[in-house]
Amino acid sequence: MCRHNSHDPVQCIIPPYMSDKLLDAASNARLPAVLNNELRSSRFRNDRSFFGNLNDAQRSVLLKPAKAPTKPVLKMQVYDMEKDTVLSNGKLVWNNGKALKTMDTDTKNVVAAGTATWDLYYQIFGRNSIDNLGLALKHYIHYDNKYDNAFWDGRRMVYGDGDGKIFGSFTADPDIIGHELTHGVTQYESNLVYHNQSGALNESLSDVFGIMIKQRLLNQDVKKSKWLIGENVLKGAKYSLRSMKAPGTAYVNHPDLGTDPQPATFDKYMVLPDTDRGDWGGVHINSGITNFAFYVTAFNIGGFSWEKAGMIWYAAMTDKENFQPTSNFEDFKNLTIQKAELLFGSGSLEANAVTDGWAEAKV
Amino acid sequence: MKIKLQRVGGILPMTKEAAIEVDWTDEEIKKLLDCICLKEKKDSKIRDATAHFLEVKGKATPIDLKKIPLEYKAIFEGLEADMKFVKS
Repeated sequence: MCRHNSHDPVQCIIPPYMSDKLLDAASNARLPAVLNNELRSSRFRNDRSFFGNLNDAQRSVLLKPAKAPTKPVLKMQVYDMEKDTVLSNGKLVWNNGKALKTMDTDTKNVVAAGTATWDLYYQIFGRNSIDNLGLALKHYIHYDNKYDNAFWDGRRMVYGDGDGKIFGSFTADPDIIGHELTHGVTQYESNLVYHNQSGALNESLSDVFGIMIKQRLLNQDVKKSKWLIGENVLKGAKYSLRSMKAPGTAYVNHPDLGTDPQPATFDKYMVLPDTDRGDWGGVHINSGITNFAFYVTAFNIGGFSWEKAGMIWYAAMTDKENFQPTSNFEDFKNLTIQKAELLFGSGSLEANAVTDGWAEAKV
Repeated sequence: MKIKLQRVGGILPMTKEAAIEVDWTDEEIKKLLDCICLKEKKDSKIRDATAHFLEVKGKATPIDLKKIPLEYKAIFEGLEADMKFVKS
């Protein structure tokens, strides 16, 4: 039995002050709760004292090494729509590295480009998938009959086969696949409103990251790249969907489509109706201006676009405090210049290249 | 009367359209439009989407092609197949 006037822990497991409390509490029928609390507190105090007095060698023997954080892994699925348009009818054909049927060209395309997209975001920018929380990438191929488009539906990427005459499959270019996936990244970051200038910025970011994904996949530096979006999707050697290097020249006098209407500079900004028919104020049209600013920046910096220009653009696009849903070209210009100065120093080649890029685009 | 099916939008925002003469009554047209017109607001998170309109007597109504009644399916499938780009 414990002698309450002793403080020797060998003689007394429960110290006197605690047993006094216990006795008091027992009369109030709260013994179990008090006992539990007091024992736990006592244990914590003892542990803290014991571990605090260990030297490094003792600590390394006694303490388990911190568990290494789990390395993010790509999660990706491919569904075959077999010309259907109800996405829930898609059949799973590829699941996290395992082909469930013989892979066709479109499956191979989305797997390769989806992997390249995930890799760029993780390996270069430290981002774990679209939402930075490991969201599985879901591709839906062979959507509808001869559907000449690809889109992001808020959760998934959807690709048509094209009509086979003017358009080939919309999986044919990794930049298109990266473009759609980047719509997801924007959704989880600034969630740029899809109208007018903020909408054009949304589209431009998808092109910017789309081209970096293609360039990295093909190991192209800024000089080797043609800076074309969708050069295989739009059939014909001299045609593509967009040119970041020379907006307005992706297709000229195309027999079916006419001429690319994208402006390269802000003085040619096209004011269009904020409707379906007006491309929501020209979000795919005026994106040429900010695409051009990125091209000039990356070209002037040199090397691989994702290493410096991409880093600056990524830092700006993920700055949730300063990059808002309604941000405009001017806001993004200021933010990229600020990020370039933070990352590379005020007056650095990189910061000057960003300033020059926006100046060339007349923003 | 002439009806025109239009598709707008997309990653390359182009307009495609096709027209056909039909002998439908005004009442029939109204009933069809009531059935296929897009009532619910589109998901605001969709990007690069396409949208369809049916133009009758100069008035374009946003429609959902999935709601086309069986008896009109062949006409609309024909229109879809015939759609041509409007050059920019």
